[in-house]
Amino acid sequence: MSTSIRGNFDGVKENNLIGWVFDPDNHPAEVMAMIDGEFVAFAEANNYRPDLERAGFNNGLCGFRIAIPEQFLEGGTHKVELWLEGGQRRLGPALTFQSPDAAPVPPAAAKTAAPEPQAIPASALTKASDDKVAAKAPPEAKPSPESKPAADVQSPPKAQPVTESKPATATPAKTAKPVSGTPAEPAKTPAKESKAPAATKEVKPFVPGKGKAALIPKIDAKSAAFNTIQRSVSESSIFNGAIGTLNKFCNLYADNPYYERLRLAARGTTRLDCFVQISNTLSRVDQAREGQLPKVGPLVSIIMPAHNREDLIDDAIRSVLAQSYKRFELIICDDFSKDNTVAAIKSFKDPRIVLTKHAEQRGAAAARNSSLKLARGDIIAYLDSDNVWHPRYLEIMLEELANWPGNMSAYAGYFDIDIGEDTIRIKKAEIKGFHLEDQLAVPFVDLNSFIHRRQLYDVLGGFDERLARRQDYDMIARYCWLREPRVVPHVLNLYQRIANAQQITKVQKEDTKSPQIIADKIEGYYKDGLPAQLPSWVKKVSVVSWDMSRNHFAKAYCVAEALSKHVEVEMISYRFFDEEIFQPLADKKPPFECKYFEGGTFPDFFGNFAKGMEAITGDVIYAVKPRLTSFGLGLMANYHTGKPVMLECNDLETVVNNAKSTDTHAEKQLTDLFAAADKAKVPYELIWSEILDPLVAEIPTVFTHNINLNLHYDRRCLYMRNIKDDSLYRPQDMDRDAIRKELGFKPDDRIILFGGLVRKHKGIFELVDLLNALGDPRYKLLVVGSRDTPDLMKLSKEHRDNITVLPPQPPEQMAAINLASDLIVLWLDPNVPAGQYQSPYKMSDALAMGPTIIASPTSDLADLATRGLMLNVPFGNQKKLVTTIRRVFDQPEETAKRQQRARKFFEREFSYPAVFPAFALGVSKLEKNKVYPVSERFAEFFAEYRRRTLAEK
Amino acid sequence: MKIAIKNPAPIGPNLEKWGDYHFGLALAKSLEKLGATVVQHFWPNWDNDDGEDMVILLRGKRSYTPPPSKLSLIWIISHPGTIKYDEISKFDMVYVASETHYKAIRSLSGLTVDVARQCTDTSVFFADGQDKLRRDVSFVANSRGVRREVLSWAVGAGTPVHVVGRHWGNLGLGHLVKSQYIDNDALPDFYRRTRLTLNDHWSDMAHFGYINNRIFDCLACGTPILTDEFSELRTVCGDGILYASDMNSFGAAIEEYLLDYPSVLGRAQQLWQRIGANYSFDARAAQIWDWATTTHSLRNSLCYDADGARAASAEPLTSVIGQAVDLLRKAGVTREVQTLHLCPSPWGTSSLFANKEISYLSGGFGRGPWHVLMDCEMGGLANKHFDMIVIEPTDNLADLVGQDQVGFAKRLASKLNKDGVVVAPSEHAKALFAGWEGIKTDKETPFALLQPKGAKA
Repeated sequence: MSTSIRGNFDGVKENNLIGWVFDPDNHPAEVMAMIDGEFVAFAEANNYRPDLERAGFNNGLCGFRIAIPEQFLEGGTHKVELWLEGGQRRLGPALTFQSPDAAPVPPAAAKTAAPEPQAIPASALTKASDDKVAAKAPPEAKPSPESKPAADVQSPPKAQPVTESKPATATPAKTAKPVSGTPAEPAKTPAKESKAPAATKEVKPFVPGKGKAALIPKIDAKSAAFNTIQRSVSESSIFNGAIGTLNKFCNLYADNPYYERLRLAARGTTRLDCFVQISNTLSRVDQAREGQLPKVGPLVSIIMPAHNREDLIDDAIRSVLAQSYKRFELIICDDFSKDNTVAAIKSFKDPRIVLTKHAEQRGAAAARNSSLKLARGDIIAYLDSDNVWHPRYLEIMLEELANWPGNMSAYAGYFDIDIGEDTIRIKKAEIKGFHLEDQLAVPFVDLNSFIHRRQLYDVLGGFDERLARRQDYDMIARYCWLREPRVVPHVLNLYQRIANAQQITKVQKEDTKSPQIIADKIEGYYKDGLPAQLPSWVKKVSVVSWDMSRNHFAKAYCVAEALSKHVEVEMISYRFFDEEIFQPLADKKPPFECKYFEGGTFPDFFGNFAKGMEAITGDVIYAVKPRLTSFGLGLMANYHTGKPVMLECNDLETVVNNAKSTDTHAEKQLTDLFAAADKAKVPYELIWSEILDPLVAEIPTVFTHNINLNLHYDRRCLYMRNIKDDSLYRPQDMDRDAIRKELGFKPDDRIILFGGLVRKHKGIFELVDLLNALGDPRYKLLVVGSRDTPDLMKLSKEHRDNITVLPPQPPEQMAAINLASDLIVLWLDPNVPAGQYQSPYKMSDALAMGPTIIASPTSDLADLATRGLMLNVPFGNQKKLVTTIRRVFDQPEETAKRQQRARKFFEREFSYPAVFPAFALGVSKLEKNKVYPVSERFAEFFAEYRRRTLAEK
Repeated sequence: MKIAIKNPAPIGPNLEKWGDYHFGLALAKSLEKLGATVVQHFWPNWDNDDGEDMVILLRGKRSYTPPPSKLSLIWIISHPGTIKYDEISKFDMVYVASETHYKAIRSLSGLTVDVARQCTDTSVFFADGQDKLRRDVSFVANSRGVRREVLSWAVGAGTPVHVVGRHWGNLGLGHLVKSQYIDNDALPDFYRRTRLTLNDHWSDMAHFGYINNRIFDCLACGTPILTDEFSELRTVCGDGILYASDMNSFGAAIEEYLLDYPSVLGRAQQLWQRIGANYSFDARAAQIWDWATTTHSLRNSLCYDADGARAASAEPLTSVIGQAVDLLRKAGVTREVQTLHLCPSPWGTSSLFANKEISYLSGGFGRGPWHVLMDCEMGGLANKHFDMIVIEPTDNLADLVGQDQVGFAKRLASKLNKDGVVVAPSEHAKALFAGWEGIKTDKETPFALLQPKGAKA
């Protein structure tokens, strides 16, 4: 600490705090301003002042000027203190100033008190610890050599600098505002107020939150921890901004426990990143939305369990009632509290509060389930009785779910607040992207900041009541198993760890049973899939594939096969091409009924089209691809029977035929088909896809596996990945070395696999160039073509030395080939639209069997690389591709880690067991026996088409 | 007029399950709207006699001989092949439910025949406009132990059908049956929620051109029908319904249903708009009522009086008219007594018309078996005046008097010559002719002899 520091707090001038400080050892000095005990700002004493220059202080560059925040300018007397060295030293004594009232006042009255400007030698600057002494004997101000007031500093008469011996929090000036560390009283209802006078000394009415003081320590603003740390100028600016805005909101919304508690926690916090988050939230949420009322949306059911929370629950309830989004019901289940928790709840008269009680203590999971049973909302949110929500939490979360109708859940960041016996701090405030395995390893999603659609509860059930702790962890794992939740990039709520409160994390800390139950469950989910429930009216599913001859049949078949383990399934399909059935499935014996019909052209095909429709006997129709003989058939069946139709879109059909870079998606009106009557005679012609694609928007459940398709269909899609039969895709059942040998590769060969339909836009020719660039004979290219395309024939002919070409393989053989391979390169040309809307089957294979995936950052492949499941190399950047390939072999540990991560991901989302719960979630959006308007429209159109076609005939 | 419907539905616990039961009830309801009093005589109580003027036999399986004293109508609604000439020739009117049948028998001597096709009760069978809620292809029928072609075709074509009816299990079609029976009250809603009804006819029905009532029930509910085909059905329904005569045509019809339902639905509903008014029980009741009332009335004019009871009832009138004529003679009327006979009964007419001392003119309200069509103002009589006005207590009297009884009496008085007299039913005399002088009133006799006050007979 410098001893030669000099300076003075000159006073208040035109709503600013004016003064100067010069510390030759640490220039510019930092001044911390506090008003009425609240932190106001840090300021650098580096402004130019001619009087200081004349006095010889650092060429006049040591003045400061701090704007007084608005809330202190609305009338009344306020106490100002300026501190140096993070509150270690006081800059002059405290002073009071009179703020003009809100009502107009004569100009003279508006003038504020300011002491004579003085230069105070270091000896006059008092250490904070000496406050008491300083108060008794305030240092005499010594005039500086040229201590005449600067021209712009007024010296009001009789200005009496005041020093206070008590902490700022104790000054009378505070009475007008909520006192730091003192929770605001809950908003009393008139009924409650009318009872209050009846209270006498003898009768001690229960006051909600009265015991809070014992649980939550107070830190006065001056003692804030961040004051004490070494900071750069920009860091100080962050503190200034955060606390300044927080003060403003504390002042504006004194009844809201959120701001006050956050400010209190901030005082004990030194982590700059926490202040950055406070600042971000305040600026991006609180300030950006100030005055805005959110749109009324669905009913939100808020689930709150409570047990012996008489001291804390009022904060939680008040933070709910203070939500900007008003359409909610707060369902509190009192789990047999023995204190006044119920009285605390009942003290709130809001009709949106529903109270249910347990007759014996059954635990938090049971209490939450009891609340869930009563929930009427389409959206479910959770708030524990010891936590506090940001006032716009529901608003923001509902916006996110409204923007992403296909996503089932969302989470926001939270301030993790550690509250000890006499300490309080923000432990962390972060928000990170979701990957379930990361969440399982170190949970970062908090139930209080997690919101979901009620379908998840309907399909996957509520909390596991066997669990004494980590019930939320278990539930979040299940609810996010199939699809990652949306991440709301704001840190919003206050998660409070309170040392003196009986919180589950602490009380049940020793419980080892619950983690074991959860671990067993999760292992089971990976193996057998997430247990899900179908509504009782769904006994049979009709899976409809537009064609059975070619590769597009595979997905429909896999879905049918996977579903058939859980529910009766029938497959309906047409044969439009020469192949009897998609060849890799030729030898399959489907465990479900298949109803196949010959394809053809209109008008002859009308008969079989109708037969396909009649063949549908399932309760739900799962159509694959928006083609006439799948989706169109489903719409017609829905028109007649009211059976709900769900659709899987796994390509953008309008650009997938003979994919090339010049393709553009086009949507057409139904009636546009009449102008293309000749083409329309072929049921799988482009024109049918163009008129059917816009209709997808009008059915309730759409599945996809690709972000770009999801965006194309207005973010409404659920996910149904390109799944694989996990019983065939089991690396542990195979001998990798033997397979490699069988395929003709040497042990040290580095096999690059190319699987699937060989087409130019899939980057096959670039791979051949790559082999040349790698310049290592160990690198081999293994091509497994699904059928003879011109591109494949050309390739086989020209590169027979380092390329092995295999014919189309059945699924089990593809699994083995993948296991044998070291990597696959999914180098999708981003200029070919078709690739942007696909999720390559070979990616599913590779995720399952281990070869490293190197992919261009196209559609989901970018996100999956971010999540550590594959590597990205931009399409065409061969140099980077070469180095990345080498990295795969040079960093075997990283490669193995990625491989394990990919396998888990496969089991969770890409294996057969993933299908049923995803399907069940899709069913939960369906209504039984309902004809969609789009089906009626399509049926009328199709009838007209048929009449015209028959008339032509 | 009182009508008894001889209803073939057998009395018993299942009475209400018979279609004929509901058919008879619906017909009765419509006849009652026209003023008839209707009783139902269910099998085997067909010999009951409730004093009806007319019997209607709904001809199903059972034959019946009508009593000769009553007007009789046989309506052949099913099993036309079982009908014999000897049976139907005993009826005053034969209704057949097909033009085809009608044409075949209309020229037979001794028969009065008309066409009265099946129909529906439009107060319960009607469309509610909720076509979006229609589901399923349905077939409401019992197997009666035989295969029904239309269902065989459906099964062969793979068309899922919702069958309501009994005895399908033995034919291996039990899996199609959703329920054994549907309550008649529930049937309209069932049809309203049905997308397409399959229908067929017993071969004899089709042969005779008999269209079954399911066709009209469904059409009234706006429900399309796929049915077997015969020419009368084509004539009546045209392309408003779908037809099948074999597997192929069934397949084509189902294809049209599946792929062009908007048109199939629209055509069925347009058909009913066109023909519906003629295929309701109200339409049939009007047809029956028109014939029955005319025939009843005309037949009465024969004074056919098998037991002489009606002739005896005319005695008091004859007696009082004799007294009236004597009175007028005494008063100096020497010419033929100018007489107006109002609301005449056939027996009254017969009695007065035969009296040589009387110049006779009859009148009644509206059209009827009398000379002058009258209204309440008696405008039809112009300037004619009478020595005697005779009023009979027939049903027509109330209409003729109207609401203004005093006015009626005054108008009558204005039509009398000096010393003229009125013969009126004693039961009405006091109310109608208050203030008139009873020349001879005898409460024991059914007729009173009256004169306006001041007149001297």
